Amino acid sequence: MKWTKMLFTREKNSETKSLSTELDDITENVKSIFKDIESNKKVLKSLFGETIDFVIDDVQLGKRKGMICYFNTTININLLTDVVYKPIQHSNEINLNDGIEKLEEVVFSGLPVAVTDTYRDIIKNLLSGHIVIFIESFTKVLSIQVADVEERSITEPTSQTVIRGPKDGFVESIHTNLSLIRRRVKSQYLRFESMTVGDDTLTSVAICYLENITNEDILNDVRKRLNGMKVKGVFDSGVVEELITDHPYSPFPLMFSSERPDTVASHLIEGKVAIVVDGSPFVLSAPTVFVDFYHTTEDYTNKYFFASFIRIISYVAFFMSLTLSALYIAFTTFHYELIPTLLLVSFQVQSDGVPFPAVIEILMMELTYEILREAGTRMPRAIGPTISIVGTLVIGQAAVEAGVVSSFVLIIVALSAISSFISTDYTFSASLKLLRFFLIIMAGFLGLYGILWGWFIISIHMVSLKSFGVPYASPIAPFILQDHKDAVLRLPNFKTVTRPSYMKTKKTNGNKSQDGSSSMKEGDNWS
Amino acid sequence: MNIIKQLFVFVTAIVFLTGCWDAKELNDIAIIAGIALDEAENGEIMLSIQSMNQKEFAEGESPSNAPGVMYSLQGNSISNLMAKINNIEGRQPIFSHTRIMIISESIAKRGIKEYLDVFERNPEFRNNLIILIAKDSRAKDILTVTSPTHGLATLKLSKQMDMFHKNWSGITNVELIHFIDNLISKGRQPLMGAITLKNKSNIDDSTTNLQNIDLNQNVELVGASIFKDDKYVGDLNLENTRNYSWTQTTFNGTNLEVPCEENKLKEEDYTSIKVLRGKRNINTKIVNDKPIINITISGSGIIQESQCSANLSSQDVQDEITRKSETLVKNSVENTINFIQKEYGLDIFGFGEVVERQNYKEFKKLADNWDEHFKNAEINVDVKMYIHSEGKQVESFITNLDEEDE
Repeated sequence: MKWTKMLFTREKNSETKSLSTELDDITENVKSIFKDIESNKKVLKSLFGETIDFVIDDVQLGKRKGMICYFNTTININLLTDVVYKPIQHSNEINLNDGIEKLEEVVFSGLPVAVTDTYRDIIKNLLSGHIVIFIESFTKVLSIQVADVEERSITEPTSQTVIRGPKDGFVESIHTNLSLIRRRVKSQYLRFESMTVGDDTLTSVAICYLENITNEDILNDVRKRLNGMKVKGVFDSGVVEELITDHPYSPFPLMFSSERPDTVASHLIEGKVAIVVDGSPFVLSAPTVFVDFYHTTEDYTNKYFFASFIRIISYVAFFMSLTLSALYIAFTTFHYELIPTLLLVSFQVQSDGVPFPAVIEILMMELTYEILREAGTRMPRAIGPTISIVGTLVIGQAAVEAGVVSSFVLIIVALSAISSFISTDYTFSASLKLLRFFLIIMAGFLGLYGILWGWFIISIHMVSLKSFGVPYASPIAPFILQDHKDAVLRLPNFKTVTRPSYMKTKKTNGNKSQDGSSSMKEGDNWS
Repeated sequence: MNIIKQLFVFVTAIVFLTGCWDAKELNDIAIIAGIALDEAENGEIMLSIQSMNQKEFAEGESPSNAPGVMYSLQGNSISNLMAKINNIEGRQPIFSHTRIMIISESIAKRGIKEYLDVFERNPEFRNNLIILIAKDSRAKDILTVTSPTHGLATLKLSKQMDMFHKNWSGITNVELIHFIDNLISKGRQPLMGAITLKNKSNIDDSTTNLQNIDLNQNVELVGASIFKDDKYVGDLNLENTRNYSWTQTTFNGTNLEVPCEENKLKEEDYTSIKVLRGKRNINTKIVNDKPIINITISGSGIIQESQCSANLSSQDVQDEITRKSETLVKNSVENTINFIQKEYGLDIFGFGEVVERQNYKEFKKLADNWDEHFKNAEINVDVKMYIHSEGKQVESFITNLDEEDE
């Protein structure tokens, strides 16, 4: 079975040389920077080739010849003029015999300047928005960050909306995203660690955690997995998620992806690790447990009894979205005795004109719905409304009137489709869909017995999952009573001062409030 | 790898080799609302089943055709007939929604035990199948009766019996499982609800019945039937059935008509009491093989109607009514018990079961011919009533009118 082998074994060696290994090769060949400007120019030209955005500019620095090089697509030209070219013009008096560091102190003081001496660093810096200044007879160079990339301004999250609560969302820039997190968690223990992933894209990824809270083992696990990633390109956190998740073959997402800084901040306070990927407005947090997918920001901004009510509804919706269609099939093909007589009669009236078995009817409508949904997502915005017209009028009403499906089936399919979207995570609702089909087929063959088996398999699978060492079903299985303060129900905020114990945090009591009021108190003491 | 292969084979086998054997699509089934058993020639039995015509029950359509279809078949065993039913009907009958089973008088006289096993054994039937006896008509005729409010008389019957039991304690819902329990119990003889078909005219037309306000055909509850083991022997009328209910735990509430003045010769006026709660407590003793059964009935109710001129606001009048109602209940219950003792000598009240619980050793000696001992038993009834409200009015306007007359 060649195809199964292909499916179930990870690809080990890639056929082309990756960029990072290439970088190593270069630095093997050209160990250090030449004293001669022309030789350096030659090296750079051979490195970057004939790309139009690479600029090499000869300048005079004091009495020496120098050269400034940069990619004009990654830097801010105005800034470059202001902070580099203008000071250089007045640099004639400077005595460069004291070394290149002197230049950094006198001319470019106050700027993000780094002194490097290897080509490996030069290449990296150039690509990420630095300008590099070579000066004759020095084997060190100055690299100054004047990066400027066009980016989207902070807007309201589109996939995780709230009525009451913060309205800002992450954007594509890692820098902005980190600042949004830092703004929420004003703790001196908040740490950002940076690393680069993706052989071809060299995407920067940041790990965020609270040093005084987060479990060291979890943190090391995250670091290890991120370092061990083998991937060509990373354009979104979804790629990272799939590569570092515990069980890539499970339908359940084992990491929470959020567009909301406040959600990520509250996760950090719980002792989770956030992974911010440059270029993606979705920030991952790990470890994740099942109940996280049904917690929303609004749970905490609303009254606790209303929030608890909404949560119960959400879990009911979770069961409904998985089993409602399957239950309809089981009841109407195997277990009539479980339906009240008059309801059974009206089911029967509905299905009298329908030529298909119930399971085919349901599968047909579920597939139609999936097609509609997918088309609605991919369609150009301008023709979006067409989908809703086609969906509601043509498919819905006409299918019933034509006698292809019964209107009960339509109700069932619509209800289970709506129920699946109650989770805050889109990935999660997508995985529910797959499980629903599984249960529908089980019910079609075996009735309630099949649904029972289906749930049996799903539950066994769910309790066997672990996300970075934390049981996925906790605090339900294993049952941890003290963590139920904020799991299925939500107790008032003043009752939920402890962090979840399944996170095995370093400090067990601390304020879980979202505005960081605990650090405010400490601040009061200092003043 | 190996595990995945094995699992694949296992799941495929489970799903494709087993499932579906009892799947029935909705458009292939007929929901059976009622069944009837009649006597047929040569000692055979006639099974009639009534399936609902689902189209007549559909939302938004006014009924115009027959709300059900009845099929009859005759043969030796019920399960065989059930299997054969498709020689006259196109859909698969399902019995899981059958609430009513009607047995004809003639078959009940012969004994019904041989027909009950199938209903207990077949998993399709519910345990709470209500079994009724059809008086003065064939059982299958009841199945042809339509009802404008419920579609079919069988659908009406289960509701009708619930309501009647709740408001008047008129008939007990004897379900199949209770009937069989009573049949095998040594301290109780079974009882069964009795219904009859009231035909106003001789026109036997079930669908026009749906268009009438004053129904041509209707099914009425007439009391209960007494069984000696599995054979029908006699009847209890509605009054007696109600009095019987006072002695049962299932008693739910009834209405009492208390005469205003006792021993008055002229046309009597009554005070009507709605009994909301009733409880009975039975104490038994066995003295020299003679059972002594003391029944204490306590009930509470409200005055619902007063035709008397007595002033209800007076405590004395109220005490008087309470006392009278106690005597009324006491007399009627005693009368019914004496009637059963003398006429039938069958313990339909289940006193034997109480004796068995309270005096187990003595009962063991009497158990084999308990009914004989029941016949000779001394039965005392004691009643406590409590009237806690007079309804919306305290004094009746009749009181004022009568005062003015004087």
